[in-house]
Amino acid sequence: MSEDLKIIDEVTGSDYKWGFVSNIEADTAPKGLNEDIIRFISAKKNEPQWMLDFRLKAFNQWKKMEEPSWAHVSYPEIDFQDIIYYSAPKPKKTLNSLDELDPEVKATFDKLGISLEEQKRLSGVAVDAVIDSVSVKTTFRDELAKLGIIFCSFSEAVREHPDLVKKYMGSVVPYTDNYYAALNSAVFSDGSFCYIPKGVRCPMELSTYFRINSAGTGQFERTLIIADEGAYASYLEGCTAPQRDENQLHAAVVEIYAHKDAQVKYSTVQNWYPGDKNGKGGVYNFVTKRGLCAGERAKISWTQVETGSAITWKYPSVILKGDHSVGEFYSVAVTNNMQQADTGTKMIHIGKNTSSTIVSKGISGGKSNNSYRGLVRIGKNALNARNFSQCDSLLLGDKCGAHTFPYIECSNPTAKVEHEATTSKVGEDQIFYCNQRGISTEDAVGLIVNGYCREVFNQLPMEFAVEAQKLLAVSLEGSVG
Amino acid sequence: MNTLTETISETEQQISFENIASEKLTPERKLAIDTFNKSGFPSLKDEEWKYLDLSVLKNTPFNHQAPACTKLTLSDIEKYKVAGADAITLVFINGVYCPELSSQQRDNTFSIESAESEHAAHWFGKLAKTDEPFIALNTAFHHGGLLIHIKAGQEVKQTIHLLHFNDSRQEAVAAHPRNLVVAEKNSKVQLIATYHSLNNFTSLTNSVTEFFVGENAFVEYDVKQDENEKALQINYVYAQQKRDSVFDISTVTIGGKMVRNNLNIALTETGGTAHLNGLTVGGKNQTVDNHTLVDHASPHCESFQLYKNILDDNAHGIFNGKIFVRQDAQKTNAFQSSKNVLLSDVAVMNAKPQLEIYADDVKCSHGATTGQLDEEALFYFRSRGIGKKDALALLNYAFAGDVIEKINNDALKADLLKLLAQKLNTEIEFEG
Amino acid sequence: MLSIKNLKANIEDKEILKGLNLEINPGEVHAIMGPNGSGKSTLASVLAGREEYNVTEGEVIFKGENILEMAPEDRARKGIFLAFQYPIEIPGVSNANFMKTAVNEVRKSKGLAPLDSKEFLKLMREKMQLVQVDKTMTQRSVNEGFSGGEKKRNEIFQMAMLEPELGVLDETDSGLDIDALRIVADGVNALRDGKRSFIVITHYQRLLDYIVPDFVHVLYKGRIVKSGTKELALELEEKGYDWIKEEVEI
Repeated sequence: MSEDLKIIDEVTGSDYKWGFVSNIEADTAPKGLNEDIIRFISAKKNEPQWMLDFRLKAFNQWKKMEEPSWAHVSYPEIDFQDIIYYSAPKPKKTLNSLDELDPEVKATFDKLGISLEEQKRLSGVAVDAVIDSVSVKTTFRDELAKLGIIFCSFSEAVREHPDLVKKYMGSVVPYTDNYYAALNSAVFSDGSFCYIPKGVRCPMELSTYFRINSAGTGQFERTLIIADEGAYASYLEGCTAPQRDENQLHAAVVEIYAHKDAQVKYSTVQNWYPGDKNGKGGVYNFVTKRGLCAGERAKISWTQVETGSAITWKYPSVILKGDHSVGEFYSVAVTNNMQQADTGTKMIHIGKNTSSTIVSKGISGGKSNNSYRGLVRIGKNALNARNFSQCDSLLLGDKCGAHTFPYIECSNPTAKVEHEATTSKVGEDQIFYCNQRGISTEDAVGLIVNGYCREVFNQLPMEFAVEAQKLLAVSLEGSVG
Repeated sequence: MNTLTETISETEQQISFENIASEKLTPERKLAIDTFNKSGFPSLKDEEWKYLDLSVLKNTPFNHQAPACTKLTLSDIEKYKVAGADAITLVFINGVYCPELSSQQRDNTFSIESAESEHAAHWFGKLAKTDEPFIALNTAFHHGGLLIHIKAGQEVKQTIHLLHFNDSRQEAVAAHPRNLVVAEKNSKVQLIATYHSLNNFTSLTNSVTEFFVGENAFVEYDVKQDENEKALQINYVYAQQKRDSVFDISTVTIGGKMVRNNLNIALTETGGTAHLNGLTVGGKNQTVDNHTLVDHASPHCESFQLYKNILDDNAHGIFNGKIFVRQDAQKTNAFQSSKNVLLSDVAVMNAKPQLEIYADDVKCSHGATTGQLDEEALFYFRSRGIGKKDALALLNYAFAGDVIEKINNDALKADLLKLLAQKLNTEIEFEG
Repeated sequence: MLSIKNLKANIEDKEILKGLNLEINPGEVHAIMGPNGSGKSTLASVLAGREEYNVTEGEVIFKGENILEMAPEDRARKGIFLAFQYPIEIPGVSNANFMKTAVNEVRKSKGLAPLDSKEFLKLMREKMQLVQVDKTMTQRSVNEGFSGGEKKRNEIFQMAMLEPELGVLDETDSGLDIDALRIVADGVNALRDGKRSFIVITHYQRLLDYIVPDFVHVLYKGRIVKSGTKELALELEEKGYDWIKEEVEI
C-alpha cells in the first residue's frame, strides 16, 4: 500500500483526541465588491500591508477591464455586485447518517467505488471518530518538512513565508493578465502553496492531503507551486466525487514556477456539478492556470480529466522560456446533456530548442458542445522549437457537437509544428458489434471511451487513473442512442 | 496500309486523316477525330490542365500513325524484362502489339485478342470517353492494342508484363497504346506496364487502358514510366470495380520530360477496395502531374491513396486527388495522403486534394505535407561517416520505400530500387 | 437446435423476410445462397438482433427459447455468433482487450469464473494458431487498418475464442482471394465438432468447395424456395438464379 494511504489509515484508525471543533466565526461580508470589502477580507485574514497593497492594485486594474466574451460558450450575465466575497470557513454541513444524503449523490459514490468511510467524510456525516483535518495535515507536513518541502495553505504562506510569496506571486500570472485573474488577485480566499527546494524529489503525490482537506468555500482559490533547481513534484487537484456548490462562479488562479532542471506535474480530476438536465444551477468554472519554465530544461505537465460544470473556460498554459524546456498538456474533457465546454491550452515558445506536446481528447454526448482552442506561439528567437498537437473528438450519438480551433503563430523558420485532428463517432454499429460479442451497451461505451482516453489516463497518478475511468463511465451513462 | 500524315493548320490545331482507305476509317474513328478537332489540345486555361504547358505538343509535327513493328531482336529487349523470369512478356512498339517479340502464352487461365475485335467491342470505350481530347485522339489513331481476358475463377500465376517502346528514331512519333483488361468473377492477376524510349528525341505516348474488374476479382497493376528526357507521356487508366473486388495500382515515374497520369476508379458495387500508390522522382526540367479520381458510388467500399514526390533541381510535381462520395455510399472509408520532399530551392510542388462528400456516414481523410529532408537525420548520418550525397540518398530511399513496398513483384522492386539509386546519383545498393 | 418458423421482418416499412422457415440440428452446416436483395443479410441481422429490423411475425427458437425478445448480448451469451459481412472498426480498443471482455461476459452468464490474464493468454495463443493470426494482430485495435482478408480472419478468430453453439457466417468469403479463403475455411472446419452448427451465407459458391455443407438452401424474395445438398450449389454456380426464379413464379 502506498505511503500516503498508510498515513491516512493510521490517523483514521486512531482514537480522535480533540473532539468536535465548534467555534465557528459568524462573520460574513455584505454583498458587493468595493475597496472596503477588500480591506475587510485582508483584515480578516490578518494579512501584512504588502498583501493588501497587492489586492488593491489588482482591484483598480479590474475596474478598468472588460469581461471577455470571445469564448464559444453562452451564459447569463454575472452580476458581480451580487456576490459575497468573503465568507468564514464553515464546517461541512453535518448529516446524522448517509440515509440523509441525496440518493443520487449516494448512488454516484457507490458507482465510483468510494468507500463508506470516505463517503461519510465527503458528505459531512458525523462519524464515531471525527477526523480533524488539522491532525492529518500535521502528519503529512512533518514528513515533508524533513525534506525541506513547504506545503501549506496560501494564507499560512503569506504569514510564514512572505519572502517566497512576494517573490513569486504574480510572476507567472500578473493581475494585469486577464479579467478573472485581476478579480482573483483582488479577492482570492485561499488555496495551496508549495515550495520544493533544490534537488529534492517530493516523495508523495501532493494530492491525498488535498482530498481530505476540502474546505467549504474555494470560490477564488489561489495556488502557487515553486520548484527550485532540479526539484520534482506531482500535484493532484480535485476529486471525483461530485461537488455541488451554491457558488456559481469559480475564478481560480494557479501559478507554477519551475527553475532549471525542475519538473512539475499538475493533474486535475474535476467533476463539478453540471446542473440539472437543462444545465440550470451548474457551476461556472473560469480558471487561469499557467506554468513558467523559467530555467533550462525545466518541464511542466498539465494533465486533466474534466467532466461536469455547466460552463468551463480554462486554458492551462506553459511559457517555455528556458532553453530546452518542455511543456505538456494531456486532457480529456467530457460534456453530456446540455453542457458546454471551451477548453484548450497555450504553449508559448520563447527559448531555444523548446518542445511542447498537446494531446486533447474531447468526448461529447447528449446534446452537448465541446470546443478545443489551442494556441502554439513560436517567438522569433525560439530556434528549433518543436510542437506536436493532437486534438481528437469523440462523438457519442449524433446530437452533440465538437469544434476545434487550433491557432499556430510561428515567427521562426526553424520550427517544426505538427498538428493532427481526428473526429470519430461511437455509433450504433460499434455498440451492436460489442453486443453481439456478449458485451452490454454500457460496458461497450466504457470499453471504447477508455481505449480512446488511454493516452491521457496513462499520465495520471495511478489511483486517480482508476477513478477517472470510473468517472467517465458514470458521466457517459445514457449518452449513446 | 497507307501511311497517314497529319495536317495542322496554322490557325487551329486540326488533325486529320489523309489518304486513307475507307475500310480503315471506321465511323467511331471519324467521330473521334471530329470530336478532338472541336476542342483541340487542352490549354493552360483549363482547370484540370493548368500546370501543364502543352505547347511543345502543338508545335511538333507528330506522326500519329505508328509504323509497323520495327527491327528489334529479342536480345535487344532482354534488359527491359524486369518482371521476373516467369513473366509473360507482351511487347508493344508505338502502341502496336508485336507477337514475334513476345512470350508464347503458357497457360489457359487467360486469353489475348485484338482490342479491335468484335468481342472487345463489348468493353471498348465503355469507360474512357472521347470528351477528353487525348482519349479522342487515342480512339481515332490506336491500333494493335490487346484485350486481355482472365477467365472466371482463374488465378494467373505468372505476371503479365506489357513492355512498351516508343520508337521515334526516324521521326517524332505519337504512339497511342490502347488496351483492355477484363478480369471475370473470382479471378486474380498481376499486370506490369513499363514504358521506354528507343531514342533520344521528342516523342508522345498517349496510353489508354480500361480495366473491368469483376465480382470478387483481384487485379494488381504496376506502372513504371522511364522514357527519355524529351518524351511526353499521357496515361489514362480507368477501372470499373464490381462487388467485393480489389484493384491495386502503383505508378512509379522516373523518366520523361512531361508525364501526366489520369486515374479514374469507379467503385460501382458494395465491398470494393482500391489502392492507388504513386512515386515520382523528378529532376532537371521534368514535370510530373498525377490526377486521380475515385468515385465511391456504392456503400461499404474503401479506397487508399498514397502519393509521394521527390523533386530535385527545377522539377515540377503536381498532385490533384479527387474523392467523390455519392449520397448512397454510406460506410465509405476513403484516405488520401500526398507527401513531398523538395531537394532544391527551385523545385515546385502543387498539391490539390479535393473531397466531395454527399453521404453522411463515412470516414474520409486527406493529408498533404511538403518540405525538405530532415536536417537532424542528415547530420546524424554524416556524423557516422556517411557522405552528404549518400546520406541524402539513404533518406530519400527511406522516404520512397513504402510506395515501392506495395508492389508484389520482387524482380520489379529490385529494378526500381536500382533505378532510384541511379537517379539519386548514389552507389549505395538499396535493398528491398 | 435452431427452429425458424414463418419469420417475417421488415426495415423502414419494407418487408424483406416474408415467411422464412428453417430447421437446424446440432452439428449441421447449412448454406444459404440467393441473388442480391433476397434477404440473406437480413436473416443474419435478425438472428443477431439488430434493432433496425422489425419482426412482424413468426418465431425463432434457439435451444428451446424464443430469442426474438432477447437483447443482442443475451443471444450472444446464449451461444449465437455472427461473423459480420463488414466487420466494424473500434479504434483504441485492442483485439486482446475486446476478446477478454467478451469471453468473460459469456463465462459470467454461464456461471463460470472469469479467466485471469494468464489463462486468457493461453486460450488466445491456442486459437490464434487455428486461423494463422499472429501476435501483432491481437495488439492492434479491433479491425483498424486491417485488410479485407485480415478482418474476415479476425471474425473467425473471435468465433474460435467464444466457442458458440451456432455460428452465422455472413458472406465471410466476400473480398477474399483463394489463399485467404482457404485459411478462413480451415479455421471454420476446425471448429466443426459434430455438435456446433453453422449457417453459411454466401454469394459465391466457391466457399462451399472448402466448407462442405450438409444442406444448401436458396433464399429468394424473403423465403427459402429450394433446398438440396451441395450439388445444388454447383448447379447455381453454373446456371445462375434465373431457373429458380422461373420455377418460383409459376
